[in-house]
Amino acid sequence: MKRLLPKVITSGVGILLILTAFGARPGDGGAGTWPVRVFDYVDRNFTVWFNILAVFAFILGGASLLKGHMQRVMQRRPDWPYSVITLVSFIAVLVIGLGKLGGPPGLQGEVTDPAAWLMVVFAAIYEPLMATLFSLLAFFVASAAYRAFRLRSREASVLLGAAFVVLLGRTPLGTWLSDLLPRGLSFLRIDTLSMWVMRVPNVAGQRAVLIGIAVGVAALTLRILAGRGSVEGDRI
Amino acid sequence: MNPEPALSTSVEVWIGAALSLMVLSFLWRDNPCYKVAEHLFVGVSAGYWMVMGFWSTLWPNAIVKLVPTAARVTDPTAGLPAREPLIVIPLVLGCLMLLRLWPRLAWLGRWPTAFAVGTTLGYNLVRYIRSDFLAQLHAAVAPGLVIAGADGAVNWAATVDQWVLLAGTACALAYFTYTRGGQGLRGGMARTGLMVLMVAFGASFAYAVMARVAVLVSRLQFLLGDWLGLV
Amino acid sequence: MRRATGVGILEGLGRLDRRWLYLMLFVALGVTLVARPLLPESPSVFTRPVFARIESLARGAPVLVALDYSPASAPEIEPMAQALTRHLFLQGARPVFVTLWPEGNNMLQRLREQVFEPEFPDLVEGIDFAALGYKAGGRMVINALRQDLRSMYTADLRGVPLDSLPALAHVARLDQFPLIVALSGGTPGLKEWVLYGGDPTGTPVAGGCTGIGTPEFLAYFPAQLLGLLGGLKGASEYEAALAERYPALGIPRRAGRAMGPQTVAHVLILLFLVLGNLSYLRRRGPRRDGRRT
Repeated sequence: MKRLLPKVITSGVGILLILTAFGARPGDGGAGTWPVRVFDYVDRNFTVWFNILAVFAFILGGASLLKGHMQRVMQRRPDWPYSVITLVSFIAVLVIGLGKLGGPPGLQGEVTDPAAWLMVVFAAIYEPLMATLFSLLAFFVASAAYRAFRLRSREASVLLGAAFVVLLGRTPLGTWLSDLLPRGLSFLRIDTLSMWVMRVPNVAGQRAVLIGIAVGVAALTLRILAGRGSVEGDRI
Repeated sequence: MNPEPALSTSVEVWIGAALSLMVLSFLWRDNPCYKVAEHLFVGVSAGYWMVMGFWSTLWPNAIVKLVPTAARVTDPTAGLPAREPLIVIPLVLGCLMLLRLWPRLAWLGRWPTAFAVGTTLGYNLVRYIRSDFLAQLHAAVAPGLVIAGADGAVNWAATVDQWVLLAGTACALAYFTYTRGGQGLRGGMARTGLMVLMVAFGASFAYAVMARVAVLVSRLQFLLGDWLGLV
Repeated sequence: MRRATGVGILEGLGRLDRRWLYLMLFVALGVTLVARPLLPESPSVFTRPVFARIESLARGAPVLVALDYSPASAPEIEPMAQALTRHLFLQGARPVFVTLWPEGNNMLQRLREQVFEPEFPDLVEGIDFAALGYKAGGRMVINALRQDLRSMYTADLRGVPLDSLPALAHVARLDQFPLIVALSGGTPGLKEWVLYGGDPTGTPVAGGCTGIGTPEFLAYFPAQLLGLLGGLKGASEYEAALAERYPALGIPRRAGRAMGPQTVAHVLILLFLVLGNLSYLRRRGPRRDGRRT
């Protein structure tokens, strides 16, 4: 029961949805037949159910965070005071957001109403923290360019060459430098070359990756639907 | 340049600037200021996502559909929608998902996961085969000669590009299936394919640099402009 | 003597603390930001089709605009959202805003404050545009819209039922929009709109994405994606095209202004690449067989 039922649910739901892609639609004729009604119902409702489950996944994530950090505080593990900050900020945002504090009276209106306190939290705390955390990556990229990207092999040289051309070609500096070239060498314009790299070899590589992933997705799907796989380490 | 530099008088901007500087302090070394900012971000973002999920989806798409009078809680003048009793199914599955928090009952949490995985796989199979496999193959095997206009003249540059694109894709695919190197046509294609992939990764690196720098420029604009009033 | 000094400098560069690199980047960007240069710009082959498509829209045409980004990607995507929204309003189209990201509602609110209210004060919500906002579920939300817009969205952000919105008078499903504009900061985003929205319904998708996504999404161009605004550069190109089309309006050039510091940062990082490798080759020395690869 514990192992079999989840496998049956996964395979049943998956196979049913694959069949809906090939089944007739109510507008195609034969609207009254039961397979059309079943496929239409499944296609309409399973996505909505999935979206509702997605919210429970958020709630589960929040609850796990609460549990983990509370344990850290109770057991006085290293750096536990920082967990207090996480817990307090988490609960405060929940109260502000679920209570729609600051906005129209009671629970009326939109949670992102301009007057709502959640908007203040977003503008003053969430936005600067998120944007600055991601901006740190610019410094790490600069550092990586200096310390990690080395001409160690032919492959690394090709990678660096392409990066060099695209980096230079996608800025006005590339256009300006290209304007210095004599007319007969216009095919060497770095902006033109950069666009060619993006349109031709880049697309060839990306396309191969997309095709490869699609084949991988198909193989993994069929394996799991056949009851022979596991997802994210969680055997179902 | 701004002729009259003026410090911001907004409390929001000052808090944002202080938090930004706390995060940037990590560039010097890991420190308590950075850790405070990091943990604050984790707490605020988890709370924010839960709140948004609840009010945008769980309330109108599940609770109001199960108990239509709930619509009046957020809008006293709202008309009552029709009750949809079957919406109880995802609600029950969602509650089962939360049982993962209790180890003894965690196995019940596999049922909603199984439903979510089945739904994702069922749709993904068809969409990926259609868009990332068939459509990409179709785009790769483009017309052999690219005609430039109504007069039927051949655009040779575009034609050569089209063939290079096809050959590059074929070689990169050959590399995925034949990674051991070696001689012969297949080995040669695989080696060429590796180079094609390296060009693609080089382009990705260049664009990643652009993306990261753009975010940094924006943060500096906030600090130097919105906060200090220098730009 | 000079050679020895050069070698010493190269070896010294190899031991340079990373924090000096950070400082150089910080100073270079700060100085360029203060100078605020506006460099010349022209639309690329990827940007032009998006512009042309919006130019060809009929007045009153509903256009689905997905704002799938957060503050982390807003520096690249928000200028696109501003320029595209301006263009849609100037063409008399009716944008319908949705988002797959929780932060999307806040991004829409900023768009109201930065573009709708100051530049188009006469617009009426529900008639000239509709704001449907966020729904959880990512790609499955698109899937639901494919079937029935009202299966997920019963009302707009103000709580007005969809059936009462003139902007959505003749729209029940995704395939009834003449265009989807998907502005994406990551996943779920543009890829999902192509796979779950554009391809199954045949609705043309115009995309805008961060620099990181650009190389991958070009594989969908032009068959599955009619055009792509790639990163800040794409946004800057679109702003330039709009400014050229409407010279009297004084179209703001937010992305264009950021391209100056962007260019300086690129040059600096290229310089780091070159110096880092010169230092590496110097330390490594020639191989035994005399090759230096």
